[in-house]
Amino acid sequence: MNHQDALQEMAVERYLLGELSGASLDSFEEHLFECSECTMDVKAGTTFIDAARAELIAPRRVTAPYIESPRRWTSWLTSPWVLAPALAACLLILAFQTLVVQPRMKLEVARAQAPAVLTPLVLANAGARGDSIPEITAPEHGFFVVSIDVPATGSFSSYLCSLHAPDGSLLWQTTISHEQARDSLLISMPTDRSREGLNTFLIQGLPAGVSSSDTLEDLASYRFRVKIQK
Amino acid sequence: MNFAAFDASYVNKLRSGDAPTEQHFITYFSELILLKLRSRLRNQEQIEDVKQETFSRTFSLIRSEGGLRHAERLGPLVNSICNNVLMEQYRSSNRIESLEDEIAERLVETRPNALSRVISDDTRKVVRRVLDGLNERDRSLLQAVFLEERDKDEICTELGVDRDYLRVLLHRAKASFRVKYSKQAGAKKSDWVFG
Repeated sequence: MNHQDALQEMAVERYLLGELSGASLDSFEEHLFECSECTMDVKAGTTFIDAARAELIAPRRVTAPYIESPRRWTSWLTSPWVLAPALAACLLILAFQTLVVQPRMKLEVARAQAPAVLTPLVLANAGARGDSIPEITAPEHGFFVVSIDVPATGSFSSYLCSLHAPDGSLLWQTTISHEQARDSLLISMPTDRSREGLNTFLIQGLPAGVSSSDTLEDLASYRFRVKIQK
Repeated sequence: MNFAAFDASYVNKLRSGDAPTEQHFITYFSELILLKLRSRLRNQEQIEDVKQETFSRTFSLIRSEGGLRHAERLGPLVNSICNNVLMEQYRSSNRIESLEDEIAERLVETRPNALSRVISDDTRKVVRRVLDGLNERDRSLLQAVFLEERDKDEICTELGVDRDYLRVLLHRAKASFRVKYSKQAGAKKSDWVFG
């Protein structure tokens, strides 16, 4: 037996397992005594086997079992697949607020706080016919001032002032006291509260001694056109 | 000692009685002779006797007139002398007349620790790591074969493997042990002395 034969036949393993006998045993042992490679392999094998016997007798080291806590229905919230996109979304929102929303708000606040001469849109004399419907050009995120006369007819305890959009939907409403109605009302209207196009202020009176809104009486309707300057 | 091969220089040193060379020679072939004999002799005393006689005759032959002509045949010479001594041992014990399989089988040492030796803690640690890297089936297979010494065919059938699987498992475990041992020991390959 030469070394190549020994490798091919796994002679070292067969020898260690006691599977060789007779001529094959003699042949391998003759090779073994002249081959340092096979000798080292056999020596390593016997050392391993002898030590393994001692180790296999000893109880196997066992680490404390990891007891997985039962999955709750909220466990998906802590999944990396959920947390990572959620964190990214939070960062995105934070960046948008910091870089876009806040500067815009600061600008609007600065504009609102800056002294300015007001030019109110006077609706006091506007007729229902709308031959000359007043028009105002209002800054997109600003405001405009409207001057309205409340017809002080009849005995009303208070008045209701409503702003309606071009489609008739209610945009804004406020109650005006009898005292306030004596003079022209100056209303500071944020442009965002109105709609571009034909808006209508409706003045209604609430008769004295009556609390129900069903008994409101239409007193005046003022139409005006809003143009938003962007 | 840096051992490369059994060459003329090595044999000359043996012949001249060079102590380190003699020690290397005895260390190198002792384990081989013990491995050879433990499957053939039951008695530890007999094993030791045969080993000593083998070495004695080998040294005598090397140092005789003419001596060993081909130094590279030193290994087979030791093996051959050992075989002869073993035959004489059989005859003297009046049990057998040859080295036939069925006779040798009667003398096979069944005790697992016939040649048990002190295994260092380092070696055991390395072996432990190798065993820990095995799956449960492979570990059970090695345990059944080497610790419990059960019939190998029976074990293989029980675990659903064949004899080739067992050989490959041993081959891989042994190779893993050698790699881990060499890393730990940091010794030169030629100077490995497992233990």
